[in-house]
Amino acid sequence: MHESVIALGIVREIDKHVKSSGPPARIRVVLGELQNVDEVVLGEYMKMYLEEQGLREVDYVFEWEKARFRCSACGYEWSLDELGLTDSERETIHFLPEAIYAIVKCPKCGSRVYDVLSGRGVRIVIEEKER
Amino acid sequence: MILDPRVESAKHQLRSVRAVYPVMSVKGGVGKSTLTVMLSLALRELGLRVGVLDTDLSNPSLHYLYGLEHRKVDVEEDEGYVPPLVHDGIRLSSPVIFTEGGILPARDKDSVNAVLELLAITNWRDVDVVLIDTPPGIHDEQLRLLKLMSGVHTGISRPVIVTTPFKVSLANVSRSLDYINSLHKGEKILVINKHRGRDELSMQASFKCILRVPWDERLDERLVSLEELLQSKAYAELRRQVHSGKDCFF
Ligand SMILES: Nc1ncnc2c1ncn2[C@@H]1O[C@H](COP(=O)(O)OP(=O)(O)OP(=O)(O)O)[C@@H](O)[C@H]1O
Ligand SMILES: [Mg+2]
Ligand SMILES: [Zn+2]
Repeated sequence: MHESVIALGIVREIDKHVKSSGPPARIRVVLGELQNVDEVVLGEYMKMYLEEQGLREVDYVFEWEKARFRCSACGYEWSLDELGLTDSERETIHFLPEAIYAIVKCPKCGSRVYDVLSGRGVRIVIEEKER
Repeated sequence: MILDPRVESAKHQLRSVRAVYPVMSVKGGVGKSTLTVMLSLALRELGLRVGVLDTDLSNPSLHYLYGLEHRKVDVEEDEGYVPPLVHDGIRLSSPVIFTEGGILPARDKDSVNAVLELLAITNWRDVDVVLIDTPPGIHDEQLRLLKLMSGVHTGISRPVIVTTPFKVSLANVSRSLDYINSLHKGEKILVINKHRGRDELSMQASFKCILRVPWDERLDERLVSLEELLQSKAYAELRRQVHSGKDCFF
């Protein structure tokens, strides 16, 4: 399962941070709509890895971020809801978000050159305590 | 502070890989992809379990060379995905496995993202060494790959620079070396491909070793299958040099 490696990556980053700078005030794990990870499964793996690392007391929140795209040719902006992707296309993009370029064209002008403005993948946002 | 979990994921995936060999060239069409495949076969014949990664996102070709194109690949999921076996002991990870042949853009930001994602999801379990085919040129994209690899892999990292024997090509390599050396301090391998007769080389000292693969007029026809490729003059010569100079790779 893909979620397990993502969870492992997240927990290792948190572990490195806690070891070097102590527990932060807040940890947000931002989940991009495009990659569409399974939040429940990811949470279970994170719990397991956090316990393994002796970081049981570390707290974090999941936050979803909408995927937005902007066409480099015509400037049109759109979101995933507009596209009506099939389940198998979603699964492909789940593994490799850039696969979107092989699947989706700009809904307005058909260009394949566009930017993913937000909601691509998973990132960890660490907010430090006030000193 | 914003952190990217994929870096640690990729480290985890590469943890038991002894060596990675990014295959690069200053010019296109010198034989990187063909050599990547031949090297995978020669290293396999040394008893190593070989992984191959195609990072030429806008022009991936390894799946053709390994004959994967007509097969619908069933992805085995296990901490990411286990790349399919394309030959006994050789596994191929390629973006086309996910895009069903569709190609990805070569725009800088996207290609770095896609390569890091591939490294994060590819489970190289049971693989000893990984060959990485790259797009033509030694520019930002290739240098970023070297930098990325040095961040996620702690074993041997040995770029394989492929060139043709012509004076101009050798001069180009010689000129690019400074650029490469600035990001990759370690030893490198030079492959002079399509070799005929002699060459005048003035940069022996810059490489751990130099392999010479002869011009093989029948190579193109041989690329229809790995069995044919194994019978080729070019492969026989490469295999001989790899096997007599194993140290070159470790
Ligand atoms: N030793 C050789 N003798 C004769 N032909 C060769 C030899 N090596 C490679 N070729 C031929 O050269 C052509 C280019 O090879 P290949 O696609 O491997 O190059 P490349 O460097 O990967 O190209 P690109 O830069 O486009 O990715 C092919 O037609 C291949 O068959
Ligand atoms: Mg190539
Ligand atoms: Zn457009």
